Amino acid sequence: MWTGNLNAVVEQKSRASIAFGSALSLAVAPLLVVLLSLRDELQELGHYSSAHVPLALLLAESLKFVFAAARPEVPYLKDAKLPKIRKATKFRLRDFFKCLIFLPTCVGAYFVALVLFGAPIINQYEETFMLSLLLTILTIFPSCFHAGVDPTMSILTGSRKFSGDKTMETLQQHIFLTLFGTWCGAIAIPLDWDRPWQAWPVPCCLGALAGYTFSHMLTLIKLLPFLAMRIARKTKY
Amino acid sequence: MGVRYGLFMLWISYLVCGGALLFGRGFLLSREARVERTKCQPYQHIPCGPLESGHSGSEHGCTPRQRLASLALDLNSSNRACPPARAKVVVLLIDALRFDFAWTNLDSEPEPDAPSYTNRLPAITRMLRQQPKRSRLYQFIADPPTTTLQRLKGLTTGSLPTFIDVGSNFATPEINEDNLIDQLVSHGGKAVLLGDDTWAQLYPKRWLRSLALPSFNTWDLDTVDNAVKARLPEELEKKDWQLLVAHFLGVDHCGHRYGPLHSEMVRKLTEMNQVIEDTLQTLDNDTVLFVIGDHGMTITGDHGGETDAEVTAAMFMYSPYDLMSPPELLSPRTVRQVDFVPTVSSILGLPPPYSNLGAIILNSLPFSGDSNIPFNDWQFALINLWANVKQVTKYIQHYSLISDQFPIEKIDSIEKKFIILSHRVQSIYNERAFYSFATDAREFLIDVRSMCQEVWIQFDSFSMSRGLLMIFLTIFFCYMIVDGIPPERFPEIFQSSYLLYSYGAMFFAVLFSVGCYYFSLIERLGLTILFSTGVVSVFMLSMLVIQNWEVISQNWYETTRRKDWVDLSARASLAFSTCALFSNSYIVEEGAVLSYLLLSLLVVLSYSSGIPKILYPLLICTATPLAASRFYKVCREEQGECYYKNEDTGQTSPMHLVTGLASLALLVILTRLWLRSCGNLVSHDAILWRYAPTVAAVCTGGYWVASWSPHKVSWRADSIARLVFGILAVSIIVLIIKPLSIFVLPKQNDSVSVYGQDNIVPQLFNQMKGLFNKHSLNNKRQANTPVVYGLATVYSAAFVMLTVCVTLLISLVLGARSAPSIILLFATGASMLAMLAVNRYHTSTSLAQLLTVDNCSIQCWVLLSVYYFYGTGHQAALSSIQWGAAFVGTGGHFTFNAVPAILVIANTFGAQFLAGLCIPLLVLAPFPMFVMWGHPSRHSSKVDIQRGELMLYERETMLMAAMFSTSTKYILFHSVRMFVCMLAATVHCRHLMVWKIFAPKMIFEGISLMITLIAVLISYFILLRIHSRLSVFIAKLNRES
Repeated sequence: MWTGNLNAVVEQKSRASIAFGSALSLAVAPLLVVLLSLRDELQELGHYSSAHVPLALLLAESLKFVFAAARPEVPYLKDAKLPKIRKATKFRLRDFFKCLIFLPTCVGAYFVALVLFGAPIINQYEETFMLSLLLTILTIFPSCFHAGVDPTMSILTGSRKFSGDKTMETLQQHIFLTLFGTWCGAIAIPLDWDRPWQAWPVPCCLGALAGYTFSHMLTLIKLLPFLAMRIARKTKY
Repeated sequence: MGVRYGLFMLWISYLVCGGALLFGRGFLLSREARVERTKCQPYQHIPCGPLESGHSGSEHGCTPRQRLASLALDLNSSNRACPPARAKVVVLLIDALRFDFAWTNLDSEPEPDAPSYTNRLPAITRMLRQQPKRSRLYQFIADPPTTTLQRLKGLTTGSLPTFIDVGSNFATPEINEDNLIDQLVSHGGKAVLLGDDTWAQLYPKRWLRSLALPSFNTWDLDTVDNAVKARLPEELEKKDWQLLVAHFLGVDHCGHRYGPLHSEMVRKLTEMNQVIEDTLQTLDNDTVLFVIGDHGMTITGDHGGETDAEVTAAMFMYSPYDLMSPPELLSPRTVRQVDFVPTVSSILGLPPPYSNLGAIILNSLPFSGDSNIPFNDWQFALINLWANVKQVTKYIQHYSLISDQFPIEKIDSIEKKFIILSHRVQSIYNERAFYSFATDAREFLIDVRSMCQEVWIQFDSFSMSRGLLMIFLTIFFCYMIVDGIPPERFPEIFQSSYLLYSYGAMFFAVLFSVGCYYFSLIERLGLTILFSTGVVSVFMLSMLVIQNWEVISQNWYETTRRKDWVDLSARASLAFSTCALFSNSYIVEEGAVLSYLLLSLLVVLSYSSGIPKILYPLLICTATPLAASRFYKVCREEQGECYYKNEDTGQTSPMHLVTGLASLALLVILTRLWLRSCGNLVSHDAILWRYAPTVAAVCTGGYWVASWSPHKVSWRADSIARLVFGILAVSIIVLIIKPLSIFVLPKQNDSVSVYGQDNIVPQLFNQMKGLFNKHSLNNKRQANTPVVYGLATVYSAAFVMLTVCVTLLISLVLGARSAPSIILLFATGASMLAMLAVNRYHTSTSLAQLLTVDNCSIQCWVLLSVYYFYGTGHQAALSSIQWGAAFVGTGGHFTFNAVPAILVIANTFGAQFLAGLCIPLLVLAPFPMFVMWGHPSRHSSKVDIQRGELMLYERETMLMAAMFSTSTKYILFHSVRMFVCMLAATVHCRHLMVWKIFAPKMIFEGISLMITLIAVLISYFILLRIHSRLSVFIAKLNRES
């Protein structure tokens, strides 16, 4: 039934890459946190010394993108009927440069937003910067590379609704839940437990990672029927 | 119609305030601190022999021994002389030394399952066995609140300190009541302090030497103790003191950190045992040792409340002389902490402090080693005991003169007993008579103390629960009425006679209470009136809800079916911000939490509005001043590092002055531009509107500069400040009398020429447009249609002017340093109003909807008002009140106490007042925005508001209903916060932090609620005033044309 019509094919393809991406994120993010806590370095999350965490996440996201791009395209897709989707999945140089400018801007925008929300301005810019970097990698970066700059902007400003577009909906959900996780993480900061991991921005970083993981888990669970069917089909042939 | 809404709001405000007051009465125990001292002369100065007649000439020859002998002969005059000292005193205060830490039962084998802290102070037990005549161990019962500061106060003044000791100094914890240390110092004694710096705070500059160490870090078990241990032997060697206090904190800190069962506690107790042992070794022959705990701890190591584990401390004493051993009845095993003061006083030869309520512990009085004392020990004890009794009676008599806290019958019976005792005391000639007298005297003293305890120590749970219930039910029913019933049905309900009946019923409730009071069926009139009217009101409100139940349920059913993210997040933020009041760390950080929530809410609002392109810039305009106000926040003591950082920066620097002046200038110029372009400054009556803010701002700047400059020009500075107060007061009064800032163009004028002027963009309402259409057709009619400036913003302009005046007033009181913060509030509020207005204009489909302020906007406004309490440099702690505000324009000379009180309240709660005054602007905002800028987006709007606020005048019922619903919801949201504060204080009334964090928070919240209520009511009645003046004006206009 998935090969029934064009839309279904596109959907199937995007579903496959989404499933792979989610599985990868689901593995990487908690693994990082576990490793950090085992090495007792959780409180280092906000320092340049822990730059390997955003780097690893960046790598994972890039891997996802490569996977999505390297998938053999379904022949029908070359049909001119679906230019929008092709544009979204096809990697183009102009988009790449646009992203290169857009991403640092986003880091700056996140930095400003965090300061407005109450992050220390002068004395802890390193920590705030690390959090904005992490947030950019977790939210803007994937959406930028999977969908392009303009759709990302419209997700961020809420100026367009994406009903029916699975990829965009998923991306939107990732961004929302990651930011919500960050928001919730801040709840732990004022408490007077005097734990090292309560220092700014560790709870927010952990919250972001938790939101990110949760979102990917949700996506994977939503896709379970599809995956089950795929496996069933593969065993059949 | 409008007045009826106003009355209803007044009613609600009364109920909410009543509930809060009722609760506060039960919860905040208060006592007046008296500053009198007990005085006595050294016995060397008293006359020789019995005081029969004027022997003043022949006294020089007698020895001290003879003088003393005369003391015992005439007891009633004996308390004029200080009794001779018996010994010096060393007090080892081991914080949180619970009784079972000290008590060791050596007779039986230790039980295997005994807690690990038992038997860790064998030094005490050993002394008790070896020297039973010279050592005592008591259960040492503390009076709640069992926090160290209050306990130290109790252990030195002999009184029962409450949370608020009226008349004591709020700004510093220094004790101004009579106390042991002051008595010692004033009689030429010397005292030495080692340990906790709370002592140094309570008694600054009283010590011969002091080693005061910070007690803040409860996780540090050893620093203080080690320092004290190192200094103690050296101090014991020196002989120049009469009283040595060594305060060890380790046991208490260990309790806080690990609890009493932890192995660290064993270590600390063993360490303490060593300290006691060493001290006993080095103690010389005329020094008495006391080892006391100021309170106990619960099984989790906390203290502050009144459970047995918290109040049962231990007191061990050892004397080098034998101690008195009166009969069983007079040798209790359990003593109160207040008893410590008169006992130590008598050992040191001091009179008991003026407000002492304790009774001398007879069996811990040492026999005197001084052979010069000519009388028996029981006579000696009698002198002390009788001085004690007289002092307590005198205190109670004086106290009951200034306060009616004590029941009259009780006072009468105390006086009677005292008279009997004073007769008996004259005829005591042997030890047995003394003991019998002492038993009665002791009973008397205990009686007095327990009376005071009832009044000062116990929470009045009756008042507390009724207060909570009253405020809760009021909020509950009121919210149902205001939120459940759609605004278009309000006129129907409020015009019915039902509300009149309610007010009538309340009136009868008052009459009934007065009647009961008149026939002396009840004692407290105020309380009964509050209670009876409360019951009647809640009943009537509930009836109103039941009457309209159908509408409410239907309306709520419809709203729950709509899935509205913004509304949901508004509710969530309300829930979150109120739940945060249950956590002490969130209260400490509340400023940051509130701005975080406010910004989150605004982000959700603009994201889901559908017009982010317009709202995002406005959002940034709102968020920037909000974030900038962070620079004006101060920290409270609990915030540690940050608190000590901002301690030394109290001075105003030139930089502060410049920012202050610039922000004032900005405020005045921008609001003037706004009003001018609205056409509200054209009128002849608007001279004050044009110039008052400018002049006031300039004068304020002058005042700041004058009071900042190092030359003494304070009297001139004060007169400038008074000038500002005068100008602003006059403009506010004029504003209320003449609230219309409109200008009718004289008819002779050629309206075309005015219209051509571009620099004044006059706001003309629709008739004006029509006029021009008809101009070519009908020249005659043109003369009849009046041209009015500023009519389209007639309501909002008055409020803009009012808020500018109030902002200037508050900035003057805040001072140059933190004045920019209130202007930041103005900026945040203005851009937030624009955001909310644009959003509402965009989403509403009818005028009724445009006038309905949603919960989210109100919640935003509540968050704003509460946040800017912190944003203007305040904290909910008594020590952070800025008393300096009382000197603005008064120079410290107060004829009325109300003046400084008002100034300090204006300084502290200015933000709440300003936010409350702006409530009508929440409703009005879309109209002036539209008039100034036209459609917010290219979408053709569904609502036509071309004619600005004149439309509102024409739809009076709608406007009033909207205004009422918004104001009431605002009041209710604030009341919810108050209710939660009260609940938190109740839940945490045994919490360690209750007197430091929860109770002050509740007090501040309560005052801010009252300020808010006043501001909202004032703003509502000003709106009514504008409305009525406008209707007069329009009627006149219609008559003329």
